[in-house]
Amino acid sequence: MSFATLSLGGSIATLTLDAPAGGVGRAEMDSLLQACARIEGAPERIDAVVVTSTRDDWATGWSVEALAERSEPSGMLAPIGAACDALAALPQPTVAAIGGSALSIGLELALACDIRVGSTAARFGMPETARGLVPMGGGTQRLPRAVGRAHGLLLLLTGEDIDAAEALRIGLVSQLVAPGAERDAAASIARTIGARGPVATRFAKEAVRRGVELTLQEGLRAELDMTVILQTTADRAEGVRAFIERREPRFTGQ
Amino acid sequence: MSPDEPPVLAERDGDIVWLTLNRPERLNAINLAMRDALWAQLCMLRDDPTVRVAVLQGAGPRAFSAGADITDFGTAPSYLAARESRRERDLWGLMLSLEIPLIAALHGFAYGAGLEMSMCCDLRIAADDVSLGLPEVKLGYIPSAGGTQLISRHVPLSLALRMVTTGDPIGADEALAAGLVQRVVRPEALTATVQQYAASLARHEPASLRATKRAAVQGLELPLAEGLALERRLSASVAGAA
Repeated sequence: MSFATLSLGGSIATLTLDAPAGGVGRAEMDSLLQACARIEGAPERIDAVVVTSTRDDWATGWSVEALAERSEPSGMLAPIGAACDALAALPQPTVAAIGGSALSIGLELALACDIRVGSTAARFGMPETARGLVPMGGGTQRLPRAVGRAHGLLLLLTGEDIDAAEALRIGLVSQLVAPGAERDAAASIARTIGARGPVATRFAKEAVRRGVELTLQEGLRAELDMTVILQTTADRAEGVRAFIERREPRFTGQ
Repeated sequence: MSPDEPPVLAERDGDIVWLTLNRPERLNAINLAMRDALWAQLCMLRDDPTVRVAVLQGAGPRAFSAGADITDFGTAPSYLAARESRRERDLWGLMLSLEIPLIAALHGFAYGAGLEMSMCCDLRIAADDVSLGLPEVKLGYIPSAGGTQLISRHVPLSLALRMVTTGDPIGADEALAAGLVQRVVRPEALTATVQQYAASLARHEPASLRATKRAAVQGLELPLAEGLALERRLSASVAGAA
């Protein structure tokens, strides 16, 4: 059983994580990198990706071996957190379903997704400072961007975890459901995305993701350019036609 | 509503201007005539130094604005012309550049360009019947009045990405919790509440109000050190003038 297993159902892909009890290491990150490469290179159309776990917990930390890598001379190995970057870089919208604990690399994987749905039993935290470490899966960058500087620094500096209600309050997750219902809730969001214009949903993701790294003025220019590119697509013409004819659109991704 | 009704009503109440999107029979959908009227009114807000605060609201019981009027789509002669005209007459850029505080009074549907227009405002006060959404992906396109840029600046990223990629709206409670609107009231109390906010802002010294808005809004787009320098310049200029 590899760490990241990919399955396809219609145009929705599901990426199921299976973190070993001993923690996440290089083999697991390589498995995720390969799964992301398969999503990028898939011959069939993938409109959205659900990211979930075989058990309630996503992952709660790195393996001893992964942490030992930190003493190796830098430059010998690719950064172990690169798989989080690959997940974040997928062009399709990604929806995380978090049923239990997402700590350390577990939270960093969730932060690499676009939309996070949690169960009311979920817990979130970045405990590296409590162990004398610094996050290495993008946590110091993606957490403050997801929840704002104040909430992000509180989690990063104290190393203490928070419950699901607090995660909803600070915007770390955008929806909470009863334990066990998180996968269906995430799949439902993914299917909704799958019913929209597939070029548009990718562009919408890109516009937001790029835009938060730009000044507002530069972001608005990027949005305008992407809008004009979309005007040339068959899907946009079909979407407008279907709206006027009061019927469901038939998008082709063209 | 007769076709001769102006698509945007402008009423002046002391130092406060109330702009009303006025196509209630079309849920205040923004068509070319409304864009023209808005452009003229926003230029007036920019150029009239006696206006201290402006309010934007929607006529009729059902909507602030349901968004762009789809029947106008595809009327530009070419893609290049569409891009050029948007750059030449940048309605939303003009709105974002206004120095006076803007208040959006939201009720019913605030979709697409309707929500985007309200996100160009500084305060969003909503009736509890409000529904806020960016449904563009349902029609195969993306928000194009600044929505993809502004939503992530107003709400946390997970919710921002959910709204733009699903196209599904949120209600008043979720909008209030996420910070997309600052206050929610009963529909019958909306106008009076907005009136109170507008009057309270209009009582402030206009130069300090404009400089404070500019420091906060422009400062968000700058590195902290530059934002602090901007604040120092603006506070010195206002103090020097008082």
